[in-house]
Formats: sequence, C-alpha cells, structure tokens
Amino acid sequence: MKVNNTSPPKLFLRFFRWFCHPQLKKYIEGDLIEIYDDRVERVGKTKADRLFVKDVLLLFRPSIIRPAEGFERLNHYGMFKNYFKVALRNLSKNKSYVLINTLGMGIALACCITAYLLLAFNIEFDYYFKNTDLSNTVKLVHYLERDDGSVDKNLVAPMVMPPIASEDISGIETFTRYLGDDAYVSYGKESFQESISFADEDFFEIFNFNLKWGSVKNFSDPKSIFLSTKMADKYFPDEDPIGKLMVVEMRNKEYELIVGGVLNEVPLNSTFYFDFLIRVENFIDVHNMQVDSWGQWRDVSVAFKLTDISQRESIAQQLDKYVKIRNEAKRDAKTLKYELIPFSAKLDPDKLNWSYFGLPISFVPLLVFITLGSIILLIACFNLTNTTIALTVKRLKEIGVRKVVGAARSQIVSQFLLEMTITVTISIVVGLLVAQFIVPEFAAMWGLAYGLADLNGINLFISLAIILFLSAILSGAYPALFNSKFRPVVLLKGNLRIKGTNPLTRVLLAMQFSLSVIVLVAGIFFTQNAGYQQKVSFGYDKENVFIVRIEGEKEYQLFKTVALTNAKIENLAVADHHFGFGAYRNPFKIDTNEFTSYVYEVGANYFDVMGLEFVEGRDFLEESKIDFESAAIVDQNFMNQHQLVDPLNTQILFQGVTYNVIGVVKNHLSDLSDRAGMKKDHFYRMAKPEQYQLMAFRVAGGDIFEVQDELEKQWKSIFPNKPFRSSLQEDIVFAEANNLNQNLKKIFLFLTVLGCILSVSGIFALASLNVEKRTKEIGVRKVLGASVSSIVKLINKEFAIILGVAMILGGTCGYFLTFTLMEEIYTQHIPVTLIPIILCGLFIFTIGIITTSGTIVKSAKASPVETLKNE
Amino acid sequence: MKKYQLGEFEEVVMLTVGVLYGEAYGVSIKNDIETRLNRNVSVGALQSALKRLENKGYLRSKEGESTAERAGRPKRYFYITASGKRALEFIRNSRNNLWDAIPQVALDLKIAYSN
Repeated sequence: MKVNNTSPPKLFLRFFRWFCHPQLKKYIEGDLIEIYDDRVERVGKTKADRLFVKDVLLLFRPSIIRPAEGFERLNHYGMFKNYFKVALRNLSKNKSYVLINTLGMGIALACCITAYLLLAFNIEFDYYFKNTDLSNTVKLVHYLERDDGSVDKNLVAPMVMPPIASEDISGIETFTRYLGDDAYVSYGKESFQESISFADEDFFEIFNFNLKWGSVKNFSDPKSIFLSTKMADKYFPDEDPIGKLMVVEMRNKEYELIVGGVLNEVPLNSTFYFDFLIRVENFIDVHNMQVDSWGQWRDVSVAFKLTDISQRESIAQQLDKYVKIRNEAKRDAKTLKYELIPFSAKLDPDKLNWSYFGLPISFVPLLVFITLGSIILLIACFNLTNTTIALTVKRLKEIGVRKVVGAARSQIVSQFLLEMTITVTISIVVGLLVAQFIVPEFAAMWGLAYGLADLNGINLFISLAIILFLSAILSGAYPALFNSKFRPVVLLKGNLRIKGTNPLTRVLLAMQFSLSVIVLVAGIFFTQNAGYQQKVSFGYDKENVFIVRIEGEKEYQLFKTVALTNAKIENLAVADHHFGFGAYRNPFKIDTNEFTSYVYEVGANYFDVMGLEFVEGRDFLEESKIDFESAAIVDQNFMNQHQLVDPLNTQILFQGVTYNVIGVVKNHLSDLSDRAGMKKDHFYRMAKPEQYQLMAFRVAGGDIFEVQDELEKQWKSIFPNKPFRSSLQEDIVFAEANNLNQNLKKIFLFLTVLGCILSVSGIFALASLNVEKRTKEIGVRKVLGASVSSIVKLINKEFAIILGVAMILGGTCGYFLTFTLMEEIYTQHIPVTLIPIILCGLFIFTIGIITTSGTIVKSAKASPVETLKNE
Repeated sequence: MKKYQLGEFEEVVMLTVGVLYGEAYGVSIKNDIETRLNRNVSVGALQSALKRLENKGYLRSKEGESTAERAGRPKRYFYITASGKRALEFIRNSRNNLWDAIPQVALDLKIAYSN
C-alpha cells in the first residue's frame, strides 16, 4: 500500500475538525482523506487541495455541524441557574428585609419615574409631529430691546407681518399664525368660558393632525371651528358634532361657526395644544385690526414653511425691512431683529418672554425634580448596600465553598450583582405599580394633563433598563467586591471577624440621614412660607374685596344698578387693569425726560375700593369729562423715581396726550414672585368704557362668600346665559403661591417620610449586625458589672457620631438648598433661619438614636449566661 | 407517500447502499453514484443524506477497520434496515402503479410530439 506524505490543507482540516459533529468526525475525516489522496494521484495536489476546500465548505451544513448543546455548553447556563436558585432562596429566607428594601426601593423608583415623566415631557416634545415633514418649517424668533438695555427674546411677531412677508419674499411657501384667547363658547343652551386658539388656513397643511371626525379641508372655511375630543364629548355627548353650529363670543361680538372636525387627543407636550381652533381672521375681526396696523400690541406666534431650509438666514435678513415699519408704528418697544429657527430646534423656555406656542418645561423645576428623584434613589441604594452587607456576613461559608470548588473572584462578584439585579427588578415592578398612584397625583398637583400613558414606551423601557443597571451597580458593587475578597481558608475556618460597620457603611449612613434632614428642612420652610406670605403687606387692603369679570360698559351699568341695591356692599368700582393681574410698561415723557412706567387703567373709586390710600390730591371723578380725558394719578415710586418735585402741578405726556397729575397714592405690590417687589412705579388713568373688564367690590363686613353668592343670583337674573366669574382678591394674589407652597410642602414631606423610613431601616440593619457581632463582649461586660444603660451608651456612641455628622451636613445643605430654591421662586419669602434647621436635625437624630437603642437594649438586657454559653 | 418519506437523492443513496451490499461506506457510495449515474456528489450532501436516512431508521451503520490509507481513520459501513427495505418497495410500487395508470395514448402522443 502506498503511503504518501501529501496532506490536505491544514487550516481547512482543522476547521472541519472544529465544526464537525463528534460522532461523525472520524468517519467523514477518513472519507475526506481517502478522496483527497485519490485525487492527488489523479489530478495533482493543487487541484486536489482546491476540491478538498470545496468539500469541507460544503460539509458545513446543519446536519453535520455539532450541536451547541449536549456535548459542550457554550454558556454558563448551569452556573447562572445555580446563582438564581441561591438568590431566590436567600430572598425567601430574609423576607422582612426584602420587603423593606423592595418597598423602599420601589417607592424611590416610583419617584424617579415621576421625575422621568417631566424629563420625558421635554425629550419627547413634539413627538406627535414625528410623521410630519417639518424639515422646511421654521419658527420666528423676535428680539426686542427693553428700555434698560437688556434684550428680550420671544416667539411673537406683529399680526400683520406674516401675510405680507409671504407675499413679498419668494422663499416662503406658506405660513400660519397661532395665538390663544378666552371666549364664551356655546352650543344650544350649553355655554362655557373656554380658551380657544386661532390659526391660518394652511395650519393643517403644514402640521399633520390626526382627525377623529371631519376633514381638515373644512378649515378653508373661515367660519369653521375644530374641537378636541374632550370638548366634543363635553358639548356633543351623544350626537355627531360635524356640521353643527356653535357660537363663539368674544368682546361682545358673536360668531356663528360650523364644526369642521374633531381631533384625536394631542399630548400636552406639543407645540400646539388646544381645545378649540378657529381661523385667525375671526380674531382680527374682533379687534378691528387693519392690514396696516403695525402698531397693534396684539402679537402672534408665527411658523413659516420655506421652500428650502438652507435659505432661512437670508429670509430672516429680508424680514428686517419690517423692523423699521414696526418700530415707527409702535414706539414703546424696540424690535431689534427677527430670526428663523428650525421647527425642531430646542428652545430654552427660560429665555423666552412670550410665546403662544407650547414650550418644554423650563430648566429649574426639571433640575429640582430630577435632583430629588436622584436623592431618594441614592438613599434607597445606600440602604440596600448596608443591608446587603449585613446579610451576606451570614453567607461567608458559602463564598468559601464556592471559591474552593473553583470560583474566580469575578464569578462571586457577578453572583452578588445578579442577586442585586433580581432585587432591583422586583423593586421596579413595585415602582411601576406605585407610580400608577403617584404620577396622577403629582400631575394633578401641577394641573398637568400628562401621564404615564403619554410616555413613549421604548424610551421608558430604555430608561428603566438604565436605572436598573445603575442602581444594581450602585448598591451591589461594594457588597460584591467586599465579600469576594477573602481567602477561602479564612472564610471556612470561621474566625473571620467582620465589624458591624466600616468606613464606607458609616459614610453611606451619614449621607442617608443628611439627605433626610435636607428634605425635612425644605418641607418645613415651605410649610412656614405659606403662612408668612399671607402676612406680606401688599400696600392695600386685600381683605373683604372680590372682583367680578364683566365685558364692556353695558354690563357694567346694568350690574352696577343691581349690585348697589345690596346693602352689604360698601363700595364698588370698575377697571380694565387690576392689582394682582399686572400691567404693561409704556413710554412717558415729562418735559424732555423720557422713561417708561407701568400703566393701570381704572375707574373712579377704584382706590377707595382697593383700600389704597392717597398721599395727596384727589381721586378721579366719575362724571368729570376733564378727568376722563386728561387726569392722572401716580404712586410714590413714580413720584420719587421720576423726580416730580411738585407732583400736583406736573404734566405728563403719554400716548400723545398731556395728563395733569391730580393725586398721588401709596405704593402697592402686585405679585409675590415679582422681582422688583414694591419698587415698581405706577401711572393711573381712567379706563375707557369699552375696555371695562372687571368690577371690584368691597364688602362692608360679615361673610364675604355670602355676599358673593347673593351677587351671583343677581347676576343670573339679568344675564341668565352668562357665567358669573368672580374671585376673592386674596385668592388672586395668593393662588399661585399657595398652590406652589402646598405642592412643595407635600412633595418634601412625602420625601422626608420616605427618606426617614429608608434611613431608619438602614440604621436598624447596621445596629443589629453590630450588636450581633459584639454579643460576647456585651456578656463579658455585664458579668463585670456594666449596667444596661452604659452598654447602650457604649454601642450607641458610634451611631451618635454618624448621626451628628449627618445632622450638621444635612442642616447646612438644607439651608443652602432651601434658600436658593426660595430665592429662585419668590422675592417675598420667609427668611431661612437657624432654629428650625436645628430642630429638624435633632428630630432626625432622635429618630435614628431611638431605632439603634431599641436594638441594643434588647441584647443588653439578655442574660450573660445565654450570650457567653459556648456551644 | 406520507409514511415513507424519501427524497430523490435519498432514494439514490439507499439504492446504492443496497448495490454495494456490505461494502457501502462514504467514498464507495460516492464513487458508485458518480460512475453509475454520471452525476457529481459532494461529501457534504452525501453525509447529510446518510445522517438523515439513519435518523429515519432506513439505514444503520457499523464501524469498520481503520486503514493507513485513511490516515488511521475507520470506515463506517451502511446497511439497509427492514423499514428501509419497506420504504424502497413502497416507492417502487407506487411508481409502478403510476406507470401502469398512464394511458398508452399519452406516452404515444408524447413520442409523436417529440418526433
């Protein structure tokens, strides 16, 4: 038999040996070699090699490739199965700890999900328009110069500009204006006050909306109205709204509009969020705006659709020609320039002064809530870390055995991390359940019509995965590394002494407790702040005053006659502007001196009703034509800031009319959050009858609500179809602040309770571990005559130091956090003082000490016979 | 056919195993098919067919001697099992039945057309 030395290509032979099913390997290899040798003789080595390679490659098929399982496992399935089993056994062994931990962690995660809700609001902003091609759509940004030289940025432009611009400038394909206003909407007998939005004909061409009923084509009719599903359900609970006639009343003008479509629900985090949409032409008609009314202050948000987005800068430059026209027509504000930004560009809402477009949540609240979410998650993670360390001390033998059997350190680490992941996964499930309650509550607090259902599922899933990973690593890394570091011989011999606490657990505990102190401090101050702000002086007498909204002179005259018959009403006045609603800055001139000031337009008696006292001069007279045309009242700030030496003989030029100052009143504070505080200067003149917006009533005494109810009945008797809109002056000035104070109080106190529970369970775990380790020591001490109290003192010393540090740290941080937050929100707020902070610290300290003492006392009381017995 | 599922190539392989009675192993089967039927057979196709047939229970195998020719690797001899034989017979019968069922005219016509 001839033996030849030629061998097939090594590489492919090895490849074949690697992939071939072990049962077939030797036979097929024999076949291959036999064929190869035969071929070498017949056709030569080169060709035989090539054919061999071909044969090997053709053998690479499912029935011949070895299976992944059965002979050799490609993964560590068995190992993980074991880890999993051990983990579940351990969890079921320590049910109470698991319950505390998963519950605490779950609530913490629910808080994180709530914070994520806000974050997602911004991240997923305008996801609704994902299927609309908005690559060529731009928003218009308007830069204004204020009189103090600072630059204002907003998203509005003159009402008349967009149509003219889209005619003049070739790169603009189409445009839509967008703004909102209040109106009465009625269908049949149903009448409510609603906020409605206005847009141009091409609105639905630029932006794709999902319609439930009707067609977007109907919007080409200027007399059409589009409804949200919510409003369709409210006005048309059981009929088809399309084609129905609705009446919209604005400024005493009535418009009959035909329902053209009902929109499917649009999420709140969209540029356009409206209940009613009608054509902007109606708004122009209400306010009689002419095509050339460049001087109108009623501006509007604008979106342009360009033919090519790359031209947006040159188009913005072409828009500059309108700047001059605008500045000449409207003198009180100076437009600097216009800018066009892509529709999808993220805008910082803090830097925008005015926009009808919906905007993302601004940075400060977002940061506050994300910080709070992280704080509470950190506390929960620390807690998990501490209890895990305490629990795994009992498992040192297990680790020893694993190591002896051949586990590498990395495998022990991964085992503990896996256990932590299981715990956190359970917590996430708990968290999602808790979030079902917390999130709606939270959203309701802020009046956000936004919830879990609006979140994008994929994003939420990714975020939860990230949180799962982070918190598992954060809380599991230290126990895993700590437990896996010992040598097996030490572990198995059983003389390893792990102290109850070590530097890291002490630091974590201190941090936990200081975070609890921080949130408690913040909670306490926001609670006190609400009470404090009630006492802030507004400069006028806000008690016993309420207002009723009216429209125009006719309603005023009618209602006045009726209301005056009510003996409990001491006084009443009419006004356009009102304390608490704010006013606008306008340009003035005294001699040659030009400046701006805030203008209020009020009726006679207004100061009397509001309780704002005169320093000198007199009030407006109701019947006086001279007063109506040319009398002005200023406040002390106005007098001082603009150097009125002899105020009653001063002439002020305002809007082309010369006004004589007839009186000087005291200063007032319009708003708690007003940066300028009481330093604002005000100018008062008589309101024009067509601008009458509200009536203010001063009640002589008694129950103000009763008088309000009586007036409502009187109102209904003369205006049966009009809603009676009335509010107390105290509610007007405090509404926002009270709401905010209440909400922040709730949130901080909720976090305090949660933080305390978590911290307490953490310190409890550590204290019990500590005591357990020192059982013998306690026994010896007792035998030698130590009393229970001295033992408690001894063991508590360490925890007292930790808690003391936490108290100081938490108090300091709490002070700064609360102070910064209050400064950010209010100008008028309670001073952040030391005593409540100390009390908060002591409170948390006491809670901590009581917890540890409870554990220690129990073992200090145990009989030394039991503890010293050696089994 | 449901009971005895056998592809065309599988049938060829089984028949060849039968032809080579007692001498049927990878290379000999391959060579025999190549010479008799004048078609190329890759080792991969053959081996997977053999494995399939063995799994179906139509063939069984036995480890043979190892020779220096094959670098000391043993041969693996294949034999037809009883159920394999039944399968072959079933197929042959069903083919025959089909042949018998074709009317004479159809084949004649075909011949006529092909002419």
